[in-house]
Amino acid sequence: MECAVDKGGNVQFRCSSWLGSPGSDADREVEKTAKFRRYSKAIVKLARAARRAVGFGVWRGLALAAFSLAFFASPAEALFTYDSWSVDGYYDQIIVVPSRFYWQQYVDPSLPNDELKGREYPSGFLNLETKGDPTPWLHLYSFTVFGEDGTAFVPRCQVYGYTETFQHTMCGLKFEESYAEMTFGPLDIKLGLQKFPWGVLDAFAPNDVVDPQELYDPFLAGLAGIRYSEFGIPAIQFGYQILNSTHEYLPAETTIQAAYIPIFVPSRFPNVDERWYPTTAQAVVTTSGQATLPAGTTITFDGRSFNAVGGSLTTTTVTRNASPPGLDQPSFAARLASHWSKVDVEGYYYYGFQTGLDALNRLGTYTISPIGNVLSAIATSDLVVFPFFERFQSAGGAISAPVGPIGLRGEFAVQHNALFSKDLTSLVNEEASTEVINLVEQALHIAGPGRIPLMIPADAVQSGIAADYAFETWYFEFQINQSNIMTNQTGLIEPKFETRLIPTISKSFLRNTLHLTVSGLYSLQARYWFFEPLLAYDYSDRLTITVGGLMLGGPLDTVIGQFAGNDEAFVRIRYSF
Amino acid sequence: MKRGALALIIVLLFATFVAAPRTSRAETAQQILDQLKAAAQARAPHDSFQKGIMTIYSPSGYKRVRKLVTYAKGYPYGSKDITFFLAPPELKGVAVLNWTYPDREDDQWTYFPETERVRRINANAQKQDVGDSDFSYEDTKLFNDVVAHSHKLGTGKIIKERDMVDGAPCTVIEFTPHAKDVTQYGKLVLWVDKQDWTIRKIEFYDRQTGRLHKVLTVSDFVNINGDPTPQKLEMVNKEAGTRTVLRFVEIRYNQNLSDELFTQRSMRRGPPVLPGSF
Repeated sequence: MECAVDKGGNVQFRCSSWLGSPGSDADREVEKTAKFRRYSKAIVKLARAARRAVGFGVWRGLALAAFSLAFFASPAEALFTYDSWSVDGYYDQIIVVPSRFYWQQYVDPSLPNDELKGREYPSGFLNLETKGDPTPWLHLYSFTVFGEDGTAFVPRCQVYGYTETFQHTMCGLKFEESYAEMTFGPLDIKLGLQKFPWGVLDAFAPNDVVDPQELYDPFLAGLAGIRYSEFGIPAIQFGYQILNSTHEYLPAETTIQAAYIPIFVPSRFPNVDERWYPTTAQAVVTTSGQATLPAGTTITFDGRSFNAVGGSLTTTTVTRNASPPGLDQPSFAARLASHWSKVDVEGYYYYGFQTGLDALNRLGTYTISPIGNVLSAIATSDLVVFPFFERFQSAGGAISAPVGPIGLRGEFAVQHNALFSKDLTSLVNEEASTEVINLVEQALHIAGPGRIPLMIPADAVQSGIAADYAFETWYFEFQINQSNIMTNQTGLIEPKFETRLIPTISKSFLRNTLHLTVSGLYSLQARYWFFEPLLAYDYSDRLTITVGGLMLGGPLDTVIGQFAGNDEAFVRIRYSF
Repeated sequence: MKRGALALIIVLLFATFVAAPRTSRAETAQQILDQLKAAAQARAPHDSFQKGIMTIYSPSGYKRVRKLVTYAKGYPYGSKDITFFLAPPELKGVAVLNWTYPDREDDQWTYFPETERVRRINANAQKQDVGDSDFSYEDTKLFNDVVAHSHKLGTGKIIKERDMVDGAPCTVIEFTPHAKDVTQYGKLVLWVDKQDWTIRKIEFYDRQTGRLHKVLTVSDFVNINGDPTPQKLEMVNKEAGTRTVLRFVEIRYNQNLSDELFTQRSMRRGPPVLPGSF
């Protein structure tokens, strides 16, 4: 089935199957093909009728179900294989049920949304991986995602670009990786969109600083999902391999890699109304009061001078994009990896940028009038949140080694100009008087928009250590991360010194077809926490169903605590082909 | 970790079954095991390539299929092997690299294509079942050690001079490992064909209960470079009622495999382009 998207951004399900051929083995799957095709046709008809009857949301959900059912039809191992080329992939159907669930929103998206932020419709992602080896020295690779992303706030489709920070749309096409790799003996040259999978720790790897991330739904795959959210950047990377099979004390394999990254690609943040937009970077506040101007300063209005201003203002957060650094400001990355029997050692260096958020408080509507000795304003303002790109350096190392029955991994990074977040809500409340003054000055054309820094650069040392142990069908892992901000800064949502505990327990049942994973996180200083149980069932080699829950808590002005209202349950159905 | 053990199983089982032509009749169990060891060492290939299909059957008969290729090469200090999973889709791209030593713990790494990272795997996987198959790393390691280091590992005795397995006359040896912390098995029973010095069948008995736990049957022998080489290994778990069949569809020896193949770089790149299909 060919699936297309119309101009209105609606996914049309006139699909034709590429997959399989009559007479292939696995008669059971051929039977399934016929059965599910009949079902999918019926469901598409039902979906169209439902759309006419009840509107957009339900139709999309049912149509996505039909779309996913169609892929059950494939008896083939890969979507397509010819000589040295192959196309494989998987389809994910995801349903998220937030703890604050209003079913009416799914029926009529036009209903007001004061309570439920970022309602999420069922999402579907088609992931395609293409590989080819046209010559012995040339390897081509591409990983593409076409997704219907669950958000209804920007109801259009697009091809995701590499310059915008806020670009989350209802559906879109993403090129996660697309590169050519040439091998000449020990030398590799990799050119194109590529990832830099650095670091040896699971989640919060201090050296995993090169790849940008999509942060629309960061924890859907657990803490490890942070790695899955990374996508590739344009770069040219050189790698050189040195082998040793004779001298026991020299590393058996050493790899030296150096990359030139011509443009910086920012991470992708959710839109301001979505569930995973950080509340610490959002202000919907109304402040009122009075402020005295600094000594010796006055504001002149209508021929009179005032040394006090007052009134009320309502601030609403909006987001805007900003252009990242271009060709005149490239980045560089280097990695050295060696392994011996019993120990692996890696070193990293990155000179590039980080994506931060900044804000300007920009006056909207206003009226100004003198009330006695006070110049009073009733105003609205937009807190315009936009990305900025700070030069950043990181140098670090990692080591992996077994110690008896335990596997140990350790990592550290020394960072210059790493960005740390301030809590906007406290900023706005604490500096309300300053904001009032600034807004009045804007109204009188005395000043431009007031800047409110949401993130500030600081030097830091990040480190972590993890231990894992396997016993029969059990798997235990315990990781400790530490963050030490070297600069004295106030108002940060991250503590100056922070220790995070990250335990994970997994158990397999039913001959390794049913997997239970429970992971958690707790910050000793900030006291936020995260808990996620996942239950995955491998119905077959191609079909996996995962059910999970996500619970977050802690003070609202912390990294995780700000998402305390985002508890949810979710189901993910993955079909691989 | 489980995928790494699976790969190691294939290599160890396979290497152990390579044998020399018939020699003179052994008198005691230890002599037979010594002859078996000599035969395995005499004709061990410098390197090998195997393409295999593993089918796992549940008690209800439902089957799951894994397809993989394994490259192996001997070195003065041990051996290296690398396995690439080709099917099912959820495993495709996974690669496992093993360095095996006679005198210390093995080294093992697994490449996960979803995160594009190589992870060192702890050898504590020995006592784990290999994912959803009936083979385990410990089964194969133990079996290899029985052939290569029987003197250190335990003692054997002949319990039957002649018993037929798949048409081959075999001497039946009961082998008892010494220390309980070496293995979960209290006893192995081996069927050795002294005509071509191959092992045709092994029974694994639980140390705690004394009950028969698993049965490994080896069959479909072909001559490759003059060596009788099995093309089918079947492991039956008597307690769980499950079985796993490993069938080799292609085997080649002495291919002059490059050292570059047994590296983390190779894990990331994937297997060399294969001619033909399964």
